[in-house]
Amino acid sequence: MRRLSRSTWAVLAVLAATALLGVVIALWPSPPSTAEERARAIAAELRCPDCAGLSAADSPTQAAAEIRRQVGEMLAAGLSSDQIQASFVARYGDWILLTPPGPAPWLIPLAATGFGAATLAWWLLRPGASVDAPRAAASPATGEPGLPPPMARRLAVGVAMALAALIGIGFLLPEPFSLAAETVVNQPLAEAQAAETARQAEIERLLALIAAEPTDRALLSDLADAYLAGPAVEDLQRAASVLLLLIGLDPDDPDPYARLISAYIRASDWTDAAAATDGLAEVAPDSPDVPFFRGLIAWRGYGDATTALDAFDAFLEIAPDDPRVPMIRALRQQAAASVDEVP
Amino acid sequence: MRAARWLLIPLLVIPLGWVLFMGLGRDPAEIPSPLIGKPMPAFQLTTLDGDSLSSTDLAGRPAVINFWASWCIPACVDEHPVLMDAAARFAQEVQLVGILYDDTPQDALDFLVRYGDGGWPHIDDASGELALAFGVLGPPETFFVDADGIVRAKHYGPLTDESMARNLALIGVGP
Repeated sequence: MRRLSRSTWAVLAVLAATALLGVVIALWPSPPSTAEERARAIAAELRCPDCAGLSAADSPTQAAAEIRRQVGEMLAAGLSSDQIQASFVARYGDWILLTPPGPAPWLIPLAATGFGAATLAWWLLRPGASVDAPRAAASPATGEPGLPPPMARRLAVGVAMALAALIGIGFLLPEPFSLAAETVVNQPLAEAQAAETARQAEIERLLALIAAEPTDRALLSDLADAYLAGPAVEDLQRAASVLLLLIGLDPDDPDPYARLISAYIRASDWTDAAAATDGLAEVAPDSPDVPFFRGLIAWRGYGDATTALDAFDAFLEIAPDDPRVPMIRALRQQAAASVDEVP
Repeated sequence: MRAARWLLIPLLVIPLGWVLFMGLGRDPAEIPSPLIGKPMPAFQLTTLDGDSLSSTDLAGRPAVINFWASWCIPACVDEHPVLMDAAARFAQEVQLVGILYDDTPQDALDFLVRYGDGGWPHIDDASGELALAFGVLGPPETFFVDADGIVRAKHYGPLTDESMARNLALIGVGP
């Protein structure tokens, strides 16, 4: 067998080193430690059902949130990540997996690369391509134009080394340009997280001001609004505490009542919502909010159509121009229909 | 030797072309559901009218389970008359069930006030758990369940009169 030239050895060495580096980076172990990280790692391997190309870990949709919740629940129940994946495959098929199962999908590109490498090697090392037997000598006979083989080989070596160097440099570049950088693909989620961070900062700021000025009603009112903008039931509970404090500071002010009742309704705490509505009725007996909330609580909370109908009618009479009229009309129709069904 | 090289081209192009061509005939929305031929997922939830509805209540009669949302426009609006028509014509033979997908009861009720309420129950799947159990990708999606509670077909996207009739026939409902 003919000896390979030094430049060919250099290319082979660079290629082998790049491939080895790639394998090491891909297989570098980073075991998730906490339960939260494990749940995230499993959700990151599941496709979000109702968005394009995002994992369940990265998507803000309700379906993705439910997947994350169920993954957490199954982990807590002691299921392995394979069992958790299998439970989702049973509902959605292999489609739900972002990494296709089995070796076949990985073998196709590997086989194609191997085929390409073999073709390239055959082309570079074929008998006619020797340095000692320049193609130029054969060209007149075959009539084939083209670069003389040493030139072609140098070109191939140059291109391969330049590619390898570019990839290497790409990984060493600083964060926004680096090949290793993670791209933000989920802008809405990033924005939602930014908004949540801003809300938490606003709460911190207001709490600091209130610590100095514990009875400032404007500050307390802002704090209640900041809590009400939050997603969790705990936020609603905190908002309710602040609003109760406001009511305690000035029992005759009807303003905090509507927000307090809405907070209770959003938390499905119908008993407290009804009690707060009674409080509002004492402070502001003529407010349209009283029949509005009475009807809403009776119908949505207790399914009491008769009480709800009376309250809805009272609301429509007091406040015919209120922006909530269409909503109350629709609810009234529902309540009326259910009364008709049970004569 | 040179002829052999030319032979290489069809050898590569033909299989590759065949693979790509086969892909052309496939509908990207058709993701086969693993639920077909299996019992429908069990559930027990509250309808918008406040009644309790469970999967066992549906046993003994074919059922059409329709995942929809008031924000799913125009698809859910387009298929609504098809569902209304089926509910009216096969009222005795099939039970329709609507399941809200990522929607609020209030918005759903407004939709029914606006586009017509066919009288079948609607379930508020507030957490999305039921949609996940059925493997729903997004509304509208409709499952056809036979009298034994076995899922026989799944339809993606808005139902038409033809697709409704074809799928109802699979669960033994029809003229």
